[in-house]
Amino acid sequence: MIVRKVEAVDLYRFDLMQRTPDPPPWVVEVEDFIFRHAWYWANQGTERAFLLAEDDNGELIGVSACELASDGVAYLPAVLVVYEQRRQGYARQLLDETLDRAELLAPGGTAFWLVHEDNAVMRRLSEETGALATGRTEDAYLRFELAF
Amino acid sequence: MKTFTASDLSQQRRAVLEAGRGSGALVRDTDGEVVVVVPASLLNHLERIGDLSRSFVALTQSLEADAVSPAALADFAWAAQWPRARRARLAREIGDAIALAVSLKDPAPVEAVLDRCSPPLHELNPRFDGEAMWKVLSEGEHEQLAGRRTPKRRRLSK
Repeated sequence: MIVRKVEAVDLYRFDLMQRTPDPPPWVVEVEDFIFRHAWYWANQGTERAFLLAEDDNGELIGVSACELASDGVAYLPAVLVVYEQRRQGYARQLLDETLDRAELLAPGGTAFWLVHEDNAVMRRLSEETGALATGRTEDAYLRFELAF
Repeated sequence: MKTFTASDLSQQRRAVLEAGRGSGALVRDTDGEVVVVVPASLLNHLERIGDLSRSFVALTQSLEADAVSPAALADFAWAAQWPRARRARLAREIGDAIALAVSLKDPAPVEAVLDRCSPPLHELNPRFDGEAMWKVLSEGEHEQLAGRRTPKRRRLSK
């Protein structure tokens, strides 16, 4: 799996992504955002990385993002493996690669991200990174946090 | 655009690519069908201009409707809440920008209007705006689950 920055020429590929059938709310939110507002992220500056994961044949595997939320604090707003590519272990690699990019944005700092409390896969992976759930929002998202 | 035959793909490969990277190459297949080779960025630009034009038509049509659906306005969904007069001003500006974008074969003039007129990211969905999320979470507008020092990262796949 190769993870690289999204380029403008990649945006049309998101239109071709198959949406998740009967998705849980946290998937709806990320897919909506990628379908409708990817151009926001594609205009990335030095404080934001919009990433695309693909296999050796160029097939889209997933999309993720990280950005500088504050001095020394990186935020991961999305880590999504596309519907056709799920259950193959890609989320683990994509989260790791995204944290690598986040560390470049906030070296020696911290990273945080939100995981819906019913999203068992991402909760388990988040815990495996060493991250700790340090907060919970009113709409049932857990805030995971760790230091680089 | 320069025209080639299917056999030129092997015999004049570099010339086909160079033409494709420039003003474009037309490759005529043995059955008469013509395939166009152009830079992917140009195709992407033209598709984006097409999408924006479709949204522009919806925006223009919305000026005659009583109720406007955000979904129908696609790229301009955020303008659905605007009063009609403000949408009309936006439509005029977008129309001028699309005309320029078509002549340039580049959607940049329309994107510039979008950047200026569309609401900030956190108004679309605060979950995708790190600065906004950090502010919310730092101000304690959430339930604290753990108070100890943030743990160090462990690698998952290396």
